[in-house]
Amino acid sequence: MPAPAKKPARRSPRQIARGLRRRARRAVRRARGVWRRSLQLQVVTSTLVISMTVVVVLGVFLMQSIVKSMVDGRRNVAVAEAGANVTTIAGYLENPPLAGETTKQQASGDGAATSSDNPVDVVARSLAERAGSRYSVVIRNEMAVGEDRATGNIDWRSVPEKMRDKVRKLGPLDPPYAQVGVPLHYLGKAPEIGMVVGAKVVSYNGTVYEIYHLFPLGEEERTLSSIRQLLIVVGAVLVLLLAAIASLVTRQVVTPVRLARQAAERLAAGRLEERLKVRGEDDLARLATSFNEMASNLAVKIHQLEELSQVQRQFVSDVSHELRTPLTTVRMAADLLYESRDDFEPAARRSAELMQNQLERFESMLADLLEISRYDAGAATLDLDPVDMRDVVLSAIGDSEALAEQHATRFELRLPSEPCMAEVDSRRVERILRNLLFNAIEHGEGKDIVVTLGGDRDAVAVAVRDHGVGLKAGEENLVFDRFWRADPSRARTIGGTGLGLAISREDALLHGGWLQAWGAPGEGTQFRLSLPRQAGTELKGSPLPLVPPEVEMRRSWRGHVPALPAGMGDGGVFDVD
Amino acid sequence: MWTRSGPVRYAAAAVAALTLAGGGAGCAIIPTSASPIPAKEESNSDPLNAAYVRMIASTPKPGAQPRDIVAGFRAAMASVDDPDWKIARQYLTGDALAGWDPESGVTVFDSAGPKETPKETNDATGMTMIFHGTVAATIDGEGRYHDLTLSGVERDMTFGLTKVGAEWRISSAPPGLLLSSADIKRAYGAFDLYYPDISGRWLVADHVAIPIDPSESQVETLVRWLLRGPGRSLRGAVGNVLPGGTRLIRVAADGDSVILDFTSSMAVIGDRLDQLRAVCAQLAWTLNQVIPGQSIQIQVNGEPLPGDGRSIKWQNYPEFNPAVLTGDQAAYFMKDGVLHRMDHDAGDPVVEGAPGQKTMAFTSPAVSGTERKAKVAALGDDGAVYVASMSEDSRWDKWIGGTKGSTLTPPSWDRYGAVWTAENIAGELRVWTAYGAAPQRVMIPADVASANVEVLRVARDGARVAMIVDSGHGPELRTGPILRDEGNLRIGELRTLLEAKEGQTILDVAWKDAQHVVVLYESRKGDRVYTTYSVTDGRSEEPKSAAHVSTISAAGDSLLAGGGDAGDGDADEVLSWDGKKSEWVTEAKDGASAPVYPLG
Repeated sequence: MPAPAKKPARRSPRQIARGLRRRARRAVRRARGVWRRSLQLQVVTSTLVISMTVVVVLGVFLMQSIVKSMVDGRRNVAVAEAGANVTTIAGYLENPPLAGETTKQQASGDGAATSSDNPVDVVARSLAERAGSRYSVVIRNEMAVGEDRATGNIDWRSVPEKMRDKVRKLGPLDPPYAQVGVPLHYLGKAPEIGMVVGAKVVSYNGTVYEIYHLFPLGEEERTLSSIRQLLIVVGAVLVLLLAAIASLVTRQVVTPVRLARQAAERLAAGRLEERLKVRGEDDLARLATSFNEMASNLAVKIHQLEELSQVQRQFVSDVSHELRTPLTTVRMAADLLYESRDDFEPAARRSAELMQNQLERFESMLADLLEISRYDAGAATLDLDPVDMRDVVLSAIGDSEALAEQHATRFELRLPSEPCMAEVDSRRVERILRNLLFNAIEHGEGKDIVVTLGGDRDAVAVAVRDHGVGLKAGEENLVFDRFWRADPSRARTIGGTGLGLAISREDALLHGGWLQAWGAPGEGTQFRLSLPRQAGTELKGSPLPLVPPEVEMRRSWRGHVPALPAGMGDGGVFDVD
Repeated sequence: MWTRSGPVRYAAAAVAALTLAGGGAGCAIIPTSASPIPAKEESNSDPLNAAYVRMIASTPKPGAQPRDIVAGFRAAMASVDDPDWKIARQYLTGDALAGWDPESGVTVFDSAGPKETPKETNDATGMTMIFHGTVAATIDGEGRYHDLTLSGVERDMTFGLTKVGAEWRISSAPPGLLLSSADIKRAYGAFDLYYPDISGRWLVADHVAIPIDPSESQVETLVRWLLRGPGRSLRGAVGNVLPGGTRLIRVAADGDSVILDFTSSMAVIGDRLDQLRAVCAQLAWTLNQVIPGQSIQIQVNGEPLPGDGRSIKWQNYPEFNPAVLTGDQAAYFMKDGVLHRMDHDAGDPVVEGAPGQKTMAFTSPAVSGTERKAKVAALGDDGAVYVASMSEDSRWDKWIGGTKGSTLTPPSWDRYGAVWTAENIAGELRVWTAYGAAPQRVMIPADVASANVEVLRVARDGARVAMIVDSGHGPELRTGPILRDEGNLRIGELRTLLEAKEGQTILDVAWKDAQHVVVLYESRKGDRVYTTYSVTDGRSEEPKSAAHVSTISAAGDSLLAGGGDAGDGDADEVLSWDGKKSEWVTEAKDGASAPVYPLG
């Protein structure tokens, strides 16, 4: 019976948060990248910011002046109206009622004021009729009871206490007080912002009336609000328009620059025939012209240099070939002398031996030179066969055994138990390994040499480790240079031509592999050859670490460098390609 | 070839700058090309927010004297700011706080009265202040204003005060609200509320005094009162077409129209066209008092009601006019025993049919309508009520006979086509109404069951009745509603308009319009005067002289009288009142009498 399908694991909130954070960070990084790369974006952004600042400042200033003029105008009108009202009612209240007037009023009928009416009622009614629904009036009298009046549905508590204090202290000839921006409350209606004008009237019998005119400013508020909305919309449109203009203008400049950059990139990639189109006569056209001139000059120079290099390589190749014929003759003569050296007197015998040695060196040097020139000429070809790398390694070890014995050096082999097949040119790989082994023996100071073979699905690798003096920092790449020596004063004891590692690297590259070196003073050296199992595939990593594991472990114990996972990270450190 | 040379560029820039500057200066912001238009003054009155003055109620001031406490309490009662009377209650303590009920009604004192003579009595427990004043009116909870100016009732108002802590408070106060006439003038509005009659074809007016509510517009107040339904005095006499439980959500002004938004129960009236039309007429007539000329839109939950509800205009509902008779109406009068139509150009012709022939002697005619062939009801020579139409070959039909030995009052028509009369039998009063030869008995209140009725007049709208009743202590004028529940006719609670006074005779009464009657009476001194009374609030106009007049009939502002002329002895005349010159003008001479307008 099949096991029940596992539910897909749900992500915890923390994981989700982390994911979001990661995504946000990525987006920020991407945005920053886009920002850094795009001149157009930078120009548009700065235009946006600057124009926004200008528009905001101008808008605020404009709005303030509009509000000020509008409110001032309204206040002047309101104060004038309130003043006129107060003058009228003061004229009524300051004079005692006349007997004749009373009878006249009584006769005039039902609706009109009668003598029995409280004067404040008469005053309030006349104010209410004048005010209509334009404003409200509140009449207060602190001294008498039942003398407070309000018109319409104004809430008399809308009059601020501060205002009342000031109005009570008003002198007989003082102008009235006005206060703008007072919230006016109404019974059964939403409050509205407004203005209060307060004045004082003293009646003939000494009663003090405080007269407050409350003008609603809702209409003004609405007008100003729509003006503000209009300003905001116009400002936003203006800013966007400016940004669009900036974008358009920048594009006119940036597009040719971008074309020039692309052309320069292609030129840098080796396409020397790349040229810019020249349109018009402006600065950008002149830039294009100069660029084109530079490109053609460069192409000419590069062509000259290539030719020169070709001549040199041909020269080296020719010289090597030409030297071989006389060398063969010299070699035959020297062999003859060497075979009969026992008949010579000691000094001559020593000379014959020396000549034999140096001739061998000369020959191998010539061979190496020829090999190198073959690489330079691009004539090197691979003879690929699937081979077991263990055989290749053992064969190279066998070739080096004699030299190792001379240096009292022992090999320590770490080979996998199963066949380690790879599609390689076994002759060249053997040569690489031989070179590495000779090199290790020469610099190994008689200590053991560890040869490790490793492989994974895609690649195989051979590491050769000695425990000699090691390499100084920065020498890891120099070792592959032609005729390079770690210590120029040191004599060559074995037949090193100074070209071995250079040829080895060329061989490794021909396979699509890597040849890398690691070394530290006193720690010895390790060379690692990594090759793809399948010829022609790209190498992504090496099955063996470049830095020996024991060194790595020691380092991480000391805590200097955090441990790197084996086979990762170090691949790029001393990468020769 | 054009080159970008410096001078050319600068010149171009200068030209552009000049153009801009010139253009900016040339066009002013305020256009100067306007032509004169009639400058109408902007109306400063928002119809929804009419101007009015409110008393501000203030809380008791610390350390106030008893006189100020009472004054403050009276001011708080007169304030409409505080619908729950919270501030007024702050003046009260103890019994007064628990027992004072502002909803129980309003007593209005004549402005001058209460202030004049406060009496203070001081004893150990506190203080008593007595105000003395004349009661001008009362207003009951339904807004019915009852004018009492003529009765001259005087009353004391006693306020008991005690000290609570260091402050004086009122411990006993007269019940209800005590307001002065000035307070009423300030804080109350007098409005007619219109209700459709039982048939839903006409409107009946009810006059009420409504306190101003500053938290809502007058339109809102009136509609709210309409939704409450008719008051006690008219309940049963009129129909109520507004669906029960309906509330007004909001009132909004929309240009020239006012939107009334009702709750969803209002939607049912959209289904019945006659009901909808009655509602529209009711709203139009009622609201025309506060928003004249504006149209009304009914909405239900914000959705306009289809049909008539979209734009209700007062002008579209003239047939609902509660006054029934409008403009110049043809009048009729008796001369030489036959009925004449008053038409001076045609020589006051005799009407057609039986009323214009001397087939039967009749008196006290009443005409059933404004049409030419309307019916005439009259008392025949046997005292019964006969009816004949004013068309050729008509004859008198006996509609209401009465029992032997009884007397019938002159007949009166209502707009439903019914003839009304009262029958006085010894010790019993019967009121009859008839649509034909089979009269129907109308129930009457117990307090007039044995009274003697001299005149009974039904209002033209058929909603009220006015009677000159003598219950034993002299004639008095009483009015009341006619309640029509399911065919049973009943006269509702009667209200006395003109009280019996010694030596006073009430001669005649006539309906002026739906709410006013004209009363002709003679005082003890023998001065015959007529006065117009409002049957709803009891207010009266100044009496005007009516010497020698014995009968009256009124229609709107027209008033006709029949009586003997002072100059030439016994010859009866028909007179009309000229309001401008304040004098009687002769309309028909030589024995013309009993002038009558249709209906009433």
